[in-house]
Amino acid sequence: MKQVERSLIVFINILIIFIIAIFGLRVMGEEVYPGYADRIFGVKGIYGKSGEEKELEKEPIHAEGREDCRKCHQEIYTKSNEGKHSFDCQTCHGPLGEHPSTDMIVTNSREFCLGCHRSTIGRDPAAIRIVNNWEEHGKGRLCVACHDPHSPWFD
Amino acid sequence: MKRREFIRILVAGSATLLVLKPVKSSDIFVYVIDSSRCIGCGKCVKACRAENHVPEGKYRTWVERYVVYSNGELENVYVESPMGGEFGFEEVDIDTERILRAYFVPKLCMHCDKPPCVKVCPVNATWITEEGVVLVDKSHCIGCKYCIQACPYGARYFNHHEKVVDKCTWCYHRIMRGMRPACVTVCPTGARVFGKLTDEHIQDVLKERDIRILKPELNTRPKVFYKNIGWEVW
Repeated sequence: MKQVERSLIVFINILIIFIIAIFGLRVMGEEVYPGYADRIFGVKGIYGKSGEEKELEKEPIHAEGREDCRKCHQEIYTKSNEGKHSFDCQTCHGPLGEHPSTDMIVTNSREFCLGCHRSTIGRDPAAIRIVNNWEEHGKGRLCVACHDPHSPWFD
Repeated sequence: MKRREFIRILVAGSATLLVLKPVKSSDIFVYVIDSSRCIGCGKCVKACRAENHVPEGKYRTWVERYVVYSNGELENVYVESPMGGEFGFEEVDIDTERILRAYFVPKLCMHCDKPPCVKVCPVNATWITEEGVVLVDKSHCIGCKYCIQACPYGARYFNHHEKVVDKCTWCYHRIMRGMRPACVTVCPTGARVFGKLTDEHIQDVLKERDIRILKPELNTRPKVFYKNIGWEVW
């Protein structure tokens, strides 16, 4: 009878350990992710976190944005800021690349403008000015012949 | 060891676990997409490719077009994403009068709060940073592609040049310098909004009622929110 009692106590102790373990894991968060183990034991660099975060931060930026363009092209910056095309320069001009040493080429074809301004299924007329009669409107001429791309006028 | 001592160690141990519990920062990044303002020009896909050297045929972000139409019966859904929407969208062979609604949905990595891709990685090469960004360590990745299968949003791809899995990082090198991701920067209509959770312009958007996430039933807690999309977006 005593043996049964003792084995019962051992069993209950094991049960308690399991319950505490489960409780501990629940406390650490609803789900446990591998990365957390590193953080809990204060070890950085065993898995995954070998400073890759820092390495990724150092990656070069290819196009900083319109504030960077402003340093040289103040005039165009102000003009576009007042007009409807007040979005970022690289939307049309593409990424900066090696810009001061190489030219930035932007296509002034009709197709380029119509890429945004043509009426397409799914395109909301409230979001963008759509040229409904684009096949007839200014036929045979470039859009930029009449509309200044940096500050297009609207009727 | 006496039983009393053993129990004391157990209690102390669980108490330290409580103290060491990873604290989740409220200073995390979130991303909001307004579908009604997206015009499907594909500038974001181009900018992403240039900024992050995404290989040809793979996409960190892409644009889908949802066309819901009805031929007199229950509504049908037509989804397409030609070349990831990079070069715009062609006309669809659906009668315009039959179309009930149509819109563009830009997609990218959801940077889940409980990412299934992080869970399955056998070498812990992918993890979630304190800013809430899910990243891949290219020097640790063994290219087993488990995470590609685990991701319910299809956001990961295999980079055949580097032989590792790659994904959207929300342009981690840009946001840590205080800039916005490349796709947000180039969006001409402001359909993509990015910022810290505590930022005012993010809080204003999150207060609206028609905001939703994708696949909420999976409990992945995405940090990309969508505005003005229908039930059919999947």
